[in-house]
Amino acid sequence: MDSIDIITALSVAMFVTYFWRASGTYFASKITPKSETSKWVNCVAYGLLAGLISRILVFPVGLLAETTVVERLVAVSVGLVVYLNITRNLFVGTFAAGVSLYALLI
Amino acid sequence: MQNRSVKHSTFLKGGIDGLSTPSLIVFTTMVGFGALAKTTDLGISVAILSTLFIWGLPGQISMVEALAIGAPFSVLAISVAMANMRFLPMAISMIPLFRNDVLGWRWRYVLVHFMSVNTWVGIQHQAVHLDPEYRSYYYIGFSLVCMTGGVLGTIIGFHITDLLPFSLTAALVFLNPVYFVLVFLDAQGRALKYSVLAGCILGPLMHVILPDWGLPIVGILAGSIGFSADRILGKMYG
Repeated sequence: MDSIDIITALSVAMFVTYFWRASGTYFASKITPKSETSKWVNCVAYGLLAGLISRILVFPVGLLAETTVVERLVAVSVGLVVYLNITRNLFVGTFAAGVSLYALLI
Repeated sequence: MQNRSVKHSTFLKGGIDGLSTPSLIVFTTMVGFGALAKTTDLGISVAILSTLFIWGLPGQISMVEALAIGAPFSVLAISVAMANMRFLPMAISMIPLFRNDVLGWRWRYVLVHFMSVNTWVGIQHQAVHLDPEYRSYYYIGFSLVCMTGGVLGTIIGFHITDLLPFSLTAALVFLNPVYFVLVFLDAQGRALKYSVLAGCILGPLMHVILPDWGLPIVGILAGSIGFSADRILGKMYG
């Protein structure tokens, strides 16, 4: 691959990503804090991120695509049970799910 | 003098909070990205630069994939933009936290670059406990630690991908989505809880119906459902 192409690709990717960030910053100054509009945007952000994460769990790309949906859902359920019933510690809950997936894969 | 010590301690508090689970999660996530970059012959410097300057994993993956198949720049631009579009609503919801900050408004265009899901969650959770004038210092400390973790992860993932068994690398990459499932479980308030619930259901569903454009639609739909549900329930039960 041409190194100039890679640098161009990197710059393009950086630009389009920063475009969203900068646009959001600009719009933030136009929206009244604590207004209904700002509440709605906050809901959209949470909904979008929740959608992204559940999509990664059900239809992952990359490495996780080589595990089965059952393995992933069992492992995340272990994490949920540990977090909700045993300890309200994010690290412990997350780690429990990771260990479960590892155990299912070996 | 007083101000300086407040800035210093707030910055340190952010760094310490970032140093625990958040930076560890960024680290393990970027191990996965480093490993992916390795398989596509992109070179370590491109991998590190993309972590530093794109700072959004789905977009980084899209860029690497587009480069690997030799897609034209227009296709690359659109796929990265779609993958990282979440930063728009995230910025609109995060930036007002800095409205009373000692750093002027121009700085917000710098601060927003350091935003990732991790740092966004971090500042949202801590904001109420912080002096509104110095939130940016907490955020910068937190973000710099996370970014350092991300760069380290990228480098280590790039170099050890052949040494680690698949089961272990997969388990490391898996920590990221699990962590955010647990984080979003604690979303505060009825509107956000319903938005999260709707997003969880609509996310995979829309991926089947509209693989490329699904996510922005999921955000708008899920957010509107949560927002409306809150209003309707508010009118019924107060």
